[in-house]
Amino acid sequence: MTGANEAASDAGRGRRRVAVAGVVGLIIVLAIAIGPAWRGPRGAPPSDQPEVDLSDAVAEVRDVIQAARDRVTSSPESGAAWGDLAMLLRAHGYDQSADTAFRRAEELDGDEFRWPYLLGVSLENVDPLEAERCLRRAIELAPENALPRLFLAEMLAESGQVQEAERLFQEARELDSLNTRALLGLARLKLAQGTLEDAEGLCRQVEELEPQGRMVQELLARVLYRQGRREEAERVRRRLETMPQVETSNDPYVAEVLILRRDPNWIAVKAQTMLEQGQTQRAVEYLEKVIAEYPGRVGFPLQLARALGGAGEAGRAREVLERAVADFPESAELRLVLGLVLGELKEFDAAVVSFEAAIRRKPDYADAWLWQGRALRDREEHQRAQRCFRQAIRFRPDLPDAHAALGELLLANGSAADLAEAVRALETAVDLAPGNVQWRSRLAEARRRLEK
Amino acid sequence: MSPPLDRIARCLCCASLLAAAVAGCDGNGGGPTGGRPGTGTGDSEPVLFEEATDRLSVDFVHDAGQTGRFFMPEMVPPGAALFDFDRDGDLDLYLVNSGSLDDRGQPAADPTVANRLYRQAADGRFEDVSITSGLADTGYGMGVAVGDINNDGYPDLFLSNLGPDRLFLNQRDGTFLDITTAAGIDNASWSTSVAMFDLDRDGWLDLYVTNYVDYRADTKCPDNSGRPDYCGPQVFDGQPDRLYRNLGGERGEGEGAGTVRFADISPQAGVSRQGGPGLGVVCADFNGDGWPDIYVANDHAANFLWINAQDGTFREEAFFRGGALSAGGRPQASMGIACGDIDGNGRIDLLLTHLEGENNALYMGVDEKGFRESGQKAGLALPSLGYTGFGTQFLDLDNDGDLDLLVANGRVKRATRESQSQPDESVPEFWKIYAERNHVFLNDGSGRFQRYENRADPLVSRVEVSRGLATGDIDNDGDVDVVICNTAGPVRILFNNCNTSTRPGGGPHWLIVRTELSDRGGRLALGATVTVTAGKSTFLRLVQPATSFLSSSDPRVHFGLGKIEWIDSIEVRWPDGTLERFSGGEVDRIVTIGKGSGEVQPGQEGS
Repeated sequence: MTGANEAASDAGRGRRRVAVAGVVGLIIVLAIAIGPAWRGPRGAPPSDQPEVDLSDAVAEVRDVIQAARDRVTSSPESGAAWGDLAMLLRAHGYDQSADTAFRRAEELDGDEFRWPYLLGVSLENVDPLEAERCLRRAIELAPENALPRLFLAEMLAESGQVQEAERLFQEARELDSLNTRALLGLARLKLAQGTLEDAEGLCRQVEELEPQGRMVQELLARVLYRQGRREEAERVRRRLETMPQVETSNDPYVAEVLILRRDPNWIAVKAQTMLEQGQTQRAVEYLEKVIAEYPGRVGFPLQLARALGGAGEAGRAREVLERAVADFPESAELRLVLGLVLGELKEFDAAVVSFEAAIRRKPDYADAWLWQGRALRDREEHQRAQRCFRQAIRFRPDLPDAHAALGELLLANGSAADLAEAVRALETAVDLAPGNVQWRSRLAEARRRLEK
Repeated sequence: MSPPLDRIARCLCCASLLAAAVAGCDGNGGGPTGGRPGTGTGDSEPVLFEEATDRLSVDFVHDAGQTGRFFMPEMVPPGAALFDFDRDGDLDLYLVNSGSLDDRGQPAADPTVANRLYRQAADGRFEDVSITSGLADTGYGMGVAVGDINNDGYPDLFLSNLGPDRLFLNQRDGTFLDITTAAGIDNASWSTSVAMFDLDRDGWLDLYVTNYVDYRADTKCPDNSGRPDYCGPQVFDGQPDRLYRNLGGERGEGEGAGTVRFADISPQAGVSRQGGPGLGVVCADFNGDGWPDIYVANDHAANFLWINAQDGTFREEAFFRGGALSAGGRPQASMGIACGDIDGNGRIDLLLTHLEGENNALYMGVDEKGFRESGQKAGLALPSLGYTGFGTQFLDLDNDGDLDLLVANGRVKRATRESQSQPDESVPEFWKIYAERNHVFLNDGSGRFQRYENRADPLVSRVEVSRGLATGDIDNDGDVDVVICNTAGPVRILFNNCNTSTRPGGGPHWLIVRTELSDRGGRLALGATVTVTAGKSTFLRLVQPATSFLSSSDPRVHFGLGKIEWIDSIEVRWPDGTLERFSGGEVDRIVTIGKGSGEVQPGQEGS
């Protein structure tokens, strides 16, 4: 090899070294960046998956989230996989990680309005500006869907951006003229603006569509009060007291997230839903399985016992409760429910013992005092029963049953002093529960007898 | 090397560098929690507070008992009181303690865990007089209320507990006597904030006791991933509150003068018709009729506004008057209450602190019919969204004449998003995930607030699990100092630097007014309003130490006056409705005004 050739060779070797260094460097960097993913499906995820600490989560939650993470690992460019992961993380309270996953889903699956919508809904009370961006994007992607408009309108209304809120409510109404959420939103704006007739008109429209809707009754009462129609407002308010406290949501996208839950709270809700739908046997089977899987939760045997009791299977309910009492000896509620079941089975002595045990564990347990009193009354131990009813009232003066029970017992005793107190007790019961016809009738009787 | 390999190598080198850069980024892509970037003040502003706890010799650390069982009562207390129990002119300090719960979630008796009374000595330090005073109560403490229930001029104490409450009568010799049973107080529910006020204007202080929930320790509330956490109030029944009427001068058979007795009038008054999970209470005249009403902050339920019907009964009207729910019509988790007239329209305004994810609500009193929710407009809604607020107070922190806002924060649930703040070293390991920073919001004079964020200030830089908050001029230098109570942590006493720091042009002016009912043993006039007029400026303050959360503040009223150097007049509307005017005078002093020594104004019954 000549000198020139050697120099050319040296230069060539130098360039080769650079090239090799470059390749090696890239391999090293890529290995660091993505290497852990190659450990297999149950290994650490690609580096752009959000961190999630599942160490304290229950096994079922851990498994379902890990499975979703594995699907993202297998298909990191799939917006649907990221979206599913996001929904699972959101359902189980890993909100920050869910935010990241929703953003990634939105990037990869730009036409799917659910990702910006669900992200916006979640960020409403965390980052309202970002929530607004997300909801506007969702509106762009799903112009025929009223929900993103409604959510954004409600947010803007709360932050004082009234004109924009009103426009969005109107648009939602144009998409769905019977949309009560839009009507209610507009009614609220009208109330705040002082245009009370309009507010009332809108409330009446919602009332026709949803006669049992609590929110419209609350708003209507306020509108009537502001108009100076105080008696009508009070009547509406009294009607509210007979309505269920919980308003159900009709947002199917949020519901889709909620039904993904696998945690014990949700199990209880599912079982309760089955019971409310009359699927008692299914609920019972479900709960029996759950009790075996989650032995440390007193709520499940309680729920099962109530389900069995409601289905007329007091004997089975008793077995469940007696087992649970052994597992949770300090639970006052288990003792109370056991006492109720024993009462159903006509084992009054045992029921009394159970109620006493509940009271020992929770001395201010008004319900236990009340039921103890009823059991003693049934055994003709009237003095002790009176004392129990008074204790129930002492701890829960808002409990109409306790006042009524005392009043009826005193009425049965018949002495003049007792009659006066019976009248007072029954008056309180009726005041607290004006719809109870039986108590009204007892009160009338007590008053008549007192007058004599 | 062949040219193609060369090019490939160069490309790969660049790619390596790019990959390395990308791999080093935060893969989460998550932004900060909370809304827009901070628009508040920063480190360039003067430091408002300095910590004085150690130098005052106060070594109290709240005992929240054994952790890990997630019993709900653990994460609610404690509160504190600033009051002058010995009438020497200096504020003393009472701190509530809690202790352990047994396996049933009931208080476990422990004589070593007790409330503490600190007497302020002449040199400004505090000495622990708990044992000798008789106030070292060992109940599972929640909060404290202060007022003179027997009109002897000396303040008495009511303690709210998980379990039986306690009423202590000041014996005027440095000791207190437990008169709970003798006085007819029998509240075994889980009680929280308490207020003393004269419901029937008969000159005797009555009691409103908020009760929380019918708690059961066997109820467990794991979070959505199954991890254990504290229950919220929604899983239990709210308890009805208690209203006790002071029987005052009415003597029972055989009772001597000075016997203190109360009657539980809750059913007759109507307040026990509705149980609510009550945490905060404030008593003031909300509808301008001259009679005190009662506002109750309920947790995860509509708030109550009990309007005084002037006949011993009350009607619940928060629902109608706009103070029950959020602007969107939803019940919120209301905890503490700040009370004051921040826009100078003569109507009481309320700030309610809420859970993370719910903004603190500002209910501005607009007319005799009710409130308008204005938190967004005032700049208070957004900054509070990521925090769980408890104790809170409107007060003029910088003596510039307008009311600022303090909020003590601390979580009650695990965070679902990462916190940006590192908890203090003083926070025990278990409680670290619940620690948060406190907030100060300075009023710009137009009713808009900006968050004060000077990290050198211990009031806003510490990250602890804060609950009760009491305020008052502890060192009598004309500015308002602060006591913050922390769950399972040390109490923090913070002195205001406003009148001690040097400012160009001299410090701002101030006035402190102490109102006395000379016909009621010289007791302080709880429920009075004091209006100071200076030129075109008027300032209204309420004499009501029971605001905030579980706590009682300095019952004297403080006015920051900025550059004002002379007061034209001071008007007091006394609790019985009488309006009296007093001459003004110099600023920068503490004045005591006695009922009957001023000029009675005509037409003073209600307005």
